[in-house]
Amino acid sequence: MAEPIVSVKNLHKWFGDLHVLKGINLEVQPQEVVCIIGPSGSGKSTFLRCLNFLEKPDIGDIHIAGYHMPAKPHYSRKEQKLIREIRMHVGMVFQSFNLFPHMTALENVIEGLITVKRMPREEAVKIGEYFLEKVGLMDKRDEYPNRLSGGQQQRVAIARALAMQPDVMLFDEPTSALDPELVGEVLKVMEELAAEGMTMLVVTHEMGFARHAANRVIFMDNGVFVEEAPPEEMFAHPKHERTREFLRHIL
Amino acid sequence: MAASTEPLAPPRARGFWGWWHSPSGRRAQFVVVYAVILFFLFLVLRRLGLDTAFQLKWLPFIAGGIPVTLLVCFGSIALAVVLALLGALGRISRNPIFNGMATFYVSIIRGTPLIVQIFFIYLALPQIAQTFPDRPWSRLLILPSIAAGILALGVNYGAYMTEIFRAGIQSIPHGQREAALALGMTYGQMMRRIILPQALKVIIPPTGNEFIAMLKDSALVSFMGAQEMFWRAQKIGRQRFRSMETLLVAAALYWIMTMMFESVQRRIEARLGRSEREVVMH
Repeated sequence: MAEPIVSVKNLHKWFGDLHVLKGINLEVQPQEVVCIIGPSGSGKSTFLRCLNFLEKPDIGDIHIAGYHMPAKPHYSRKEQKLIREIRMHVGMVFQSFNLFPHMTALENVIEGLITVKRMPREEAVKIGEYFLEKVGLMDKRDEYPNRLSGGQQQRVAIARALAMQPDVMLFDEPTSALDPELVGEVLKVMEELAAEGMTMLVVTHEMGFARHAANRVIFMDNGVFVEEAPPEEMFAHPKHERTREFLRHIL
Repeated sequence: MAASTEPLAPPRARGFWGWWHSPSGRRAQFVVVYAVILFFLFLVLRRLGLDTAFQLKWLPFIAGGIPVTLLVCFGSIALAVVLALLGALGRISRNPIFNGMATFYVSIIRGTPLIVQIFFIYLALPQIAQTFPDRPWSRLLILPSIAAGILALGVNYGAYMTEIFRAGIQSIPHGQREAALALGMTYGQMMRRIILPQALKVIIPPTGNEFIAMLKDSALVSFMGAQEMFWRAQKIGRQRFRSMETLLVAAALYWIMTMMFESVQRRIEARLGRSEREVVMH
């Protein structure tokens, strides 16, 4: 078995008194696609956000994309620099897209390259156009986000994350804020990405995507990983009662 | 079932009263109300027995102070913007030193009268300079009157505008911050590239209001000897025992300047509003 590209050990997180993550353990192999499903409030988004340290975990160890960062109450300047480096190698796509409204689609995509990676503009534009083309939105390169549909905005957001050429991509309910007709175009991009071998962790309610593209589905409830299995097994023969109950409502 | 071949349209208003209630008629209503109010104001002022010839004679001299007024105001607003930005970042910061300094600055400046601050800068700074006779920098504390005026107004308005800037920055959705950080940006990069450019759109209209208020507060720097418009009005008025006349001239000039800047601000706000009212597809 190759070295896992993501390795989480005993992750705990509290929000005040609320124990949101209760000892999460996870290993993800390179090129694996892992879907995390579960009811709202189960901690799925919090867990994902701990992986790129948008949330700071309280206890535990995170190895990701070749970097190691333990949970700490306070991070030194050097550690903060390392966290920024981790973020350069871990891309994130948000439920509410979070495109920069004062920049065009292309400018959004190359912003990370120019500002964070300090790439010269011509080089950044070439890379940016490549990824915009990849998500099928080259013709919208000079449009501002407020003139794009939700599905188009999310695809630009995916291109923006991909342009940084990360080793791992995190998706936090990428289609939950989309009108049903627009969900398909985003899932198509994600499925292509999976087929090309990107390591992906996806928090989602889209069971169709999980079935087609996931190597593994994890059911999370109340801060713990209840069950893990390949999608066919998870959906056909869920082992735990809580999993069964959840799937009954979703499927 | 047969529909009329004429397309339906809202009935058009006709006659004088039709026009009176239309948009152009409403503008005319406004002008009429203004004219009536000004007429009554005129009647009241006439009772004061003012020497209007005197006012007209000295109008050019008083208006000649306007460039200095504008110089003070533009200088002060520039200083205020810099202080407001630093103050806002300080108020938001989790660093206790920056936060403490910013909170103290806002509290003491908003808590004391502007006129007291003006006199303090005018009188106290040179006195403090005198207690350091052999230090070279002490000379810096003895400011020419216009510079002192800009300092006082700028520091004062900077404190009020700190809250405007802070609110503007905090009004940017949290997701913007997260997207910027997720790309690996530092706090400074996030602020400069993502947050502040968006916050500016929110901050500009209230800042325009502050500038318009500052136009009048600038009169107070005349007490430092800055020879702006109000100073000129006072000088001539006192010399010839016609203070009421000259102060009214100054008031009218302030009013005209204010109206001009208000119309500039309306145009700026319209331009800002337009870029946000683009068609949003879903």
